[in-house]
Amino acid sequence: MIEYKEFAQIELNVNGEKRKLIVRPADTLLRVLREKLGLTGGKPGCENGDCGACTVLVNGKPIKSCIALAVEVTGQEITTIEGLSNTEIQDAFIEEGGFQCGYCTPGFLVNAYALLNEHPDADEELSKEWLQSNLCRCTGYEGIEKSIKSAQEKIKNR
Amino acid sequence: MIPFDFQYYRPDTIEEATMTFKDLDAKKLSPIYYGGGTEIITQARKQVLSTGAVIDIKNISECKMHEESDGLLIFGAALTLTEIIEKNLFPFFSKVCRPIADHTVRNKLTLGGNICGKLPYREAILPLLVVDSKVVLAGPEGIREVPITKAFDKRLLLKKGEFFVQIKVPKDVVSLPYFNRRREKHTSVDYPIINIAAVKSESKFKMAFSGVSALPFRSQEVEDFINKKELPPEERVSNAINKLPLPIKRDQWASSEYRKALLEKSMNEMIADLEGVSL
Repeated sequence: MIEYKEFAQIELNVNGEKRKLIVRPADTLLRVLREKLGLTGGKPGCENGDCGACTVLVNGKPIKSCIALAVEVTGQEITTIEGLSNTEIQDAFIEEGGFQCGYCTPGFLVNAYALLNEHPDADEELSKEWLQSNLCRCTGYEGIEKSIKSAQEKIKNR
Repeated sequence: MIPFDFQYYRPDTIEEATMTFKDLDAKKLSPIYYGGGTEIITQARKQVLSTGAVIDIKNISECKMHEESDGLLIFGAALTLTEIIEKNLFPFFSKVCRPIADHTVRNKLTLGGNICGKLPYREAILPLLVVDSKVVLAGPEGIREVPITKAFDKRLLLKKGEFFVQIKVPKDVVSLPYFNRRREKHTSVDYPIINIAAVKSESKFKMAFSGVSALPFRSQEVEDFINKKELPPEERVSNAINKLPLPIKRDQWASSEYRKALLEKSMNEMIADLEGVSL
């Protein structure tokens, strides 16, 4: 049985690197990534599991890191927005104007990356179902939808 | 940030989990069982919930069971809703789970968390309530298997120190005709104003409701009225609604009158759909 009582030394596998750190068992993954590992790409928005600005991948599945404990994901592969540099989805968001203020963008990118990885032929309905997990208050979503379609084409034409 | 500390335990067996609960309870740590943690974390952050220790059940193999065995479909309490939807052993169950929360929350939210949480909707229980499923519960006194109709009355009836391990559904219910109608106020990612889940078995309707009243329910009396086929559908629906076991609620999403109107419409649609009659 794994048990963490007070401050706990844990090892997280983040973006392919093993990182040792000391956390409180009550620390959320979002806070640990930002404040202990300096990975500030994922943003604290609502911290209530609603807005999706903090989305990360755990074993390839997008989850909201504000509703996960860091101690819960030891031994699992965590990917943050920092782990997605030089990917088609990142280029597409820049080219298609998929953001304005940019606060929600890391969450959208991570979620869209997972979508296209798991469903390269995702249709509009599936894209909408996945992307309903993220809120944007600037773009009206049109640029985001265009970015995802563009990334989908780029991936197919690799 | 969660503004208080708690201990974290991840047992590997049912016995380890229940013994850990007993031990932590004796130490006055007010332990709680932890599945996906989505509700526990948000409520802890808001200080609506407090605990000195959480017991994460995700490493217990029985809680992650997801298979067909000996004519039964077995769903572990620690399965995420996404896992249930994607494996799709029971399409009616998948359909009801699909609109709960949103996709990335469903990647974390567990069956046990949805059914045993404080939020009053508990929608994942609806299809399980209308088929002859059995719930496996474990506590300091051992493991027991209880018919869902006895184990669930608006909430899962757990004894102190017990947790929900898994639910077993007879495989043959997969072929029953089913109906599900969920209505939200604004967007599909929202709590339901009403959610009806029904099956037709041996020419009779079995129905469960969420969102309509303060808590989810299944009512034999309501079903008796709906199944009086000698009456016209509108009268069956009207009589059934008059016999709901809990008052129709009103809140910021809908008035009780609006909920009632949606309920009438949806129940008429259910009859039309499952009896093959036109409205």
